[in-house]
Amino acid sequence: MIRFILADLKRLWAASLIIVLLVALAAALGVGITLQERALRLGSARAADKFDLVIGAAGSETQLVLSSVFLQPAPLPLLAGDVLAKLKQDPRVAFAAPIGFGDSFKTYPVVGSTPDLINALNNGAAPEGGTPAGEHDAVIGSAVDLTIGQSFEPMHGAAGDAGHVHTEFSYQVVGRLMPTGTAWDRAIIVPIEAVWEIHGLHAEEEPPGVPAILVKPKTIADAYRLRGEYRGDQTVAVFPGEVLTRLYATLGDARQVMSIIALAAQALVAGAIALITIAHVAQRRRQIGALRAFGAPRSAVFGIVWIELLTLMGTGIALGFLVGWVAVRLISDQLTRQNGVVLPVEFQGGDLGLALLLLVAAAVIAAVPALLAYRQPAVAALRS
Amino acid sequence: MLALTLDQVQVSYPGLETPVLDIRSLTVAAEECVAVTGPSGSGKTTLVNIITGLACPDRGRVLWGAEDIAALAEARRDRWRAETIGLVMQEFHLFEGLSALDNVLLPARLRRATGRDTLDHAHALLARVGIKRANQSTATLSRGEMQRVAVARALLRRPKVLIADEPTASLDPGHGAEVAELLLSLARESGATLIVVSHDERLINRMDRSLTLSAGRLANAAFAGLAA
Repeated sequence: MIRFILADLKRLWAASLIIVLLVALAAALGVGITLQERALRLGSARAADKFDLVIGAAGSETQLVLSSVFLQPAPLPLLAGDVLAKLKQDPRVAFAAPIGFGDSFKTYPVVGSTPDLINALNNGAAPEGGTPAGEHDAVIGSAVDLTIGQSFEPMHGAAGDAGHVHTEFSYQVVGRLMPTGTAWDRAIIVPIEAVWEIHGLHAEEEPPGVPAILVKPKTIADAYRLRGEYRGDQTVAVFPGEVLTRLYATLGDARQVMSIIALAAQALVAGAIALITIAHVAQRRRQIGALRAFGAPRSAVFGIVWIELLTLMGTGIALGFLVGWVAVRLISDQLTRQNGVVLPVEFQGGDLGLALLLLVAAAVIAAVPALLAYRQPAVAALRS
Repeated sequence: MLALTLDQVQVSYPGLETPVLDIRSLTVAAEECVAVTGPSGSGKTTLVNIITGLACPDRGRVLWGAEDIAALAEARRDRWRAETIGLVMQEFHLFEGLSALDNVLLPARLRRATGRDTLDHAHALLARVGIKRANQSTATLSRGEMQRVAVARALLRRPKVLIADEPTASLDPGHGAEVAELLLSLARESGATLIVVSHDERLINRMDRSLTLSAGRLANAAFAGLAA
């Protein structure tokens, strides 16, 4: 039977290939949506890992997280200058580091902060090359295309915006951070004092405001207490993880919509294949009749049609998983190049369930033409 | 070996006033070689379908030996046919992509009915019908060779009955004569009852007797009826 099936598939290779490709595309669509959503979710969660508590001026919590964790440029309202000082003296706070935006170099955001942030991003280790000491010293993320010792002049405005170059001020790269798989890999970190100075704010007079402060509380209880205290009319305090969870809910809704679209596509493909194969079985009624006339049992006729189709669709499903994975891998790599966040593309245990579900569906669809073949009368073999 | 008896057999199709096959009585003795002739539409193919168990009559009994195959359920009839009847058709129904040997073995394999000696028997049959290379792809065979492979396939399970439906009609006269000779001599060697539907005079003349069908009835029905 296997030899007959192989010979048959070889003879019908063009139609077989089309069925395999149709199934592969339909499966890849569903797999791709699942994998991509998962990659975005896992990648963003890992990116927010080091950001326990972020405090900003009253406004959008989501925007605060997007700007501080993912360095998405947006005009954030400034916190009053005394908030940072107050946090730094708070006994519940391990460190509080300002995050000041405003400038960029090439496509990299230039972020003003303090050594505490560098420490946190680099897991406590000193940056490769050295730690910044002076106002003109910059530390770069692992994906920034600059070398240690190189100088550059920052440009006012977000990366890609048309802005003027701060020719009066230049930085020198003194250190490089380890790769973190986050947007901060593309960041250039400079002293916050330098950012203030470039923009005409002077720390000596009264402390200038900052758009966001990263706070590392000493304990979990401290974290909750601090969040409670800084949630008010003037300030907003968020756990980025919590904000992301809300975003995932939205992302999940979008995935659900796309999954329904994928499911519809899969149903269309299933219908098309059912039609093609039913027509094919009808075309082969003489051959099937001949098999029966020569003594093949009906179960063998059913088996041949069913196994042939299931082989094709099973191959298509396997290929679809591969194609889906490769496509999401390529998309995710492109996204990582653009914003630094590493998106992990991985299968999980539940995906096996999806594969099994698709296989069961394929088995059911294959059974339709197989049943027709089974029920085909044997007399069809003889000329009439 | 098996004798055939048809008793009050009638096959009708809806919408047709007269039955397409109407045989009051017909007997073919075991090991007899009988030709069936008649114009197209006279019911020859229907007769083949009925006596091979591919179809059932609306009325009557189809007895091979003591077994009324018209009374068997479809699966039982399929098995009976596989074990009892060797079938050769006008179209060879060889399967592309399989060798001559695999084609001969295919029906038995699909029924899981291959024993230890089946392979040897298949080789012997292919040699007997003049196919030198058993592993030759059927695509490279001539039409005459194809029909000879089909004859070997029909004989694989040592059937008690050999039925051929226009076995020489799609062959040139030379190949046709070869196949006719093979059918007759193989039937005689194995002691099988041979029933051949044919227009081929040379084949008909070499059979023990010939039946003529006309509009679903045996033209020499009176004679057959008397004989029964």
